[in-house]
Amino acid sequence: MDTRLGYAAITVAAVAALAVTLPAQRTAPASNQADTTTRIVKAAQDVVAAVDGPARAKLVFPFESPQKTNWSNLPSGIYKRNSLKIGDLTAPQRAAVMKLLSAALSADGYRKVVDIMHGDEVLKRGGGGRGPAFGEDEYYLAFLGTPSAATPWMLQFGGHHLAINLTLAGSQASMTPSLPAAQPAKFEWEGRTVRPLGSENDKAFALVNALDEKQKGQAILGSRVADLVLGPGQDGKTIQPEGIRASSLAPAQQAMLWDIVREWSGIMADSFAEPRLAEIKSHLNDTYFAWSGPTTNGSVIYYRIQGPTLVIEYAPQKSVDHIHTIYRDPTNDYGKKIAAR
Amino acid sequence: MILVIGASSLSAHRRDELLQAARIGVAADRIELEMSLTPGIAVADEVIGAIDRDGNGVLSAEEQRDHAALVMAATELRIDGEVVNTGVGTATYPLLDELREGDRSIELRSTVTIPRLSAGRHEIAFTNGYRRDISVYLANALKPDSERILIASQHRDPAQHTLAIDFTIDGNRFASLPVWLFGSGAAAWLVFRRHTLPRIG
Repeated sequence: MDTRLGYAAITVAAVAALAVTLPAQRTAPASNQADTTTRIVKAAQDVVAAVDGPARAKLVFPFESPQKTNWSNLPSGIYKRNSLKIGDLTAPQRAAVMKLLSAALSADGYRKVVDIMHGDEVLKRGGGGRGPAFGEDEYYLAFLGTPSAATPWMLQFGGHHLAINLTLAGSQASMTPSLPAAQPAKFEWEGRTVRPLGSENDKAFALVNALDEKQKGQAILGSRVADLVLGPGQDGKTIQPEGIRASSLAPAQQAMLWDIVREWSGIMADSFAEPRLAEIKSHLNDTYFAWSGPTTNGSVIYYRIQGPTLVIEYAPQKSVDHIHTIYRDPTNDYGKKIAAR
Repeated sequence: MILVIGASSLSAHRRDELLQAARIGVAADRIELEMSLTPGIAVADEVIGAIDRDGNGVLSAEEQRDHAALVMAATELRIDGEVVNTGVGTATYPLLDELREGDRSIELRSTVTIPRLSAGRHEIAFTNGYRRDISVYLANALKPDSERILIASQHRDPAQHTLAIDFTIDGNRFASLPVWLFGSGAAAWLVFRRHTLPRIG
C-alpha cells in the first residue's frame, strides 16, 4: 500500500509536468473544419475541371515545388508569376475562382482581398507606374498538390499587394506567410469609400492611444522602422521580440490587441480562424506589441505584433496611402507543421 | 568568400532610397551578420555605378567582391567594446536588370568567430555607415537559437544606423528548466522513499 502511494506521487508529478509543458490546444469542433475543408476542396476541384489542359498546367504544381515561395507584393512586369492569371480566364472560369476564394476565406477576408484588387484597378485607371502591369486581371492562382481532404495541398492566390498562401492538411489550415497590402489605401468604388486596411490602421492607433505613459514607454520604439523586417524573401528568420508584453496590458487592452490580430488571422475561413486565434492568445506572456512613430492617426507609423507562433508587421511605405503588411508563423510557415502530421 | 550570381532575395519595391537591413545573430562563440541592400528605382543606377566600375553592364565576380568589401568596411561591429573584423563571408548579387528594377536585394553574410564568451552580461554594438546620403536602415537582433542566451534589450539611434544588443549568457545548463519541475520531482521522490523505507521498531 505504501509503495503504491509512492508510485502514485511520482505519477502525479510527471503528469503535472506534462500537462503544463504541452502546448495549449483549443479547437473548433472538428466537424466544422472538416465541412469547410470539403467545401474548399470541392470548389478547387471545380476550378480544375473548368480549365483546359494548357491552363491547367499553370494551375497545378507539385506540393513541394519552388512555386511555393514564388510570391511577392510586386506588380506584374517587375515580378514574374508562373501560375494561372485570372485575366486570361473566361467569365465562368473566373467566377469559379472567386467562388473558391469565398469558400476558403471568411466573409471579411474575402472582402479584404477583393478590396485590395479593386485598389489595384484604381491604380491602373490612374495610370500609375511605368512598366508594371496593374489591375484586377493581374492576379494569379495556383494549387500546390492535389486539392484533397486527405493529403496536404496549398492554395496560392496573389498579385500586386497581395499574397495568400493557404495550406490545408485534412481539417487543419495555415495561412502563413501571407501579405495583404494596399495602394491606394483609400479610394472610391461603386459609390462607397474603401479602405482595404483601414481597420488594421485604426484599431492599432486606438490601442496605442489606450496605453498609459508607462505602457507607451515599453511599446514605442525609439527609432524609425522604415519597412517590413520579415517581408518577402525573409522566410525562416525569427527576430528578437520587442515592445510591451501582452500580459502587461489590461484585459480591455488585450481585447483590442486580439482584435487587431484577427484582421490577419481572420482572413481565412472562420472554422480555421477561431482555433488559430486561440492558439495565438495562448501565448499571452510571450506576445509583444511594438510601435514606431507618432500616435496621431493619419501619421506614417509602423507596428509589430509578435509571439512564438505569430509575426504581424504593418509598414506604410513613406506614405499613409501605400501600406505593406506581413503575416507569419515562424513555427508553421507554408503549413510545414500541419503538413508533416 | 563565396559569390553567387543571379540568386537574390525579393523585397518590397522602393523608389528613392537604398534600404539596408541588418540582422545580427548572437551565439556564445560567433556573431552572424546579415545585410540586405535593396536600391529603389531612383537610386539603382547610382548604386550599380558603384559596383560596375568598368561600366560594361556586367557585375563581375571581382566587382561584386570589391563592393561587398566596401560595404562591410563601412560597418563596425564591437563585442564588449572590442572591435571585431566582419569581412565578407558570402555575397549574392542580382542580375543587373533585376537590381535596376529597384526590387531585388544584394545579400551579404559574415560569420565572426570570437573567443567563447563567458557567462554573464555582454554587449554587441553594430554601426552601419554605408551610403548614409541615400539610405534608410533597419537593424535587428535575431532570436538566439540557444536558450542560454537571453537578449535583455536592443537600443538604436533614431535612424537605425546603430544597434546595441545587451544580452546575458547563462552558465548553468539546467537553468532553462523550470524550478517547479525539480521541486515536484524532489517531492515525489521524498514521498516514495518515506513509504518504501523499512520501518524500524
